[in-house]
Amino acid sequence: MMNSIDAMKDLDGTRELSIQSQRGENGQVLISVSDTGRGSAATEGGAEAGLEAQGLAAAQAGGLDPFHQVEVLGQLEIFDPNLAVNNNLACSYCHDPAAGYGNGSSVLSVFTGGSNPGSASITVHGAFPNNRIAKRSPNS
Amino acid sequence: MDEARAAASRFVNLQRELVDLNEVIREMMLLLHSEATQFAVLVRTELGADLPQVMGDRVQLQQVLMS
Repeated sequence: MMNSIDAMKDLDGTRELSIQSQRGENGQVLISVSDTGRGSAATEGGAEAGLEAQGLAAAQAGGLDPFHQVEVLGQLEIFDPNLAVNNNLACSYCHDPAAGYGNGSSVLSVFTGGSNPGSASITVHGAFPNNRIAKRSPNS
Repeated sequence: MDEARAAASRFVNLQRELVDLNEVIREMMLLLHSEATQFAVLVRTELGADLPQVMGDRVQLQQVLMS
């Protein structure tokens, strides 16, 4: 919320911070925080969309040798939410190419339930830079 | 190294309890009220009415939302 307010401080026009909480699947709770501020240059309209579009174009064009077919497959897989257990989370959600495949997401999610009901694992935005990946894992 | 150890201990000392996340959201909104007002930021919420409580460390969750 502080990041959001920070991002909107100098904004002309609507400054709106929106906080939503809702019940997700499997006893999860989803919290999303969004704002009308600008993102960082790295994440705005940037590398992610470009990489995915590039991969799709290459796949559709066809005529690739086996090596490059595998390369394109890998390029597309990290954007595919269907690879998650609940078909709802792409690798790139956390491993954002625009952030060096680190955490570039501004969405906060708190998961409970799944294979370990009653426990909570937290998707943290920037709060613990040294532990961002280690303490988190996708639903499994 | 010390920094890594300090970071690790933050996780070791987690206090687990049942937390009402809507309550945490409201608390943080209250804390940030003057900040939001100062910069003319409109805060809008849509809080689910039937959320289950989650097991977690209340303070850590507050910090996540706060930042």
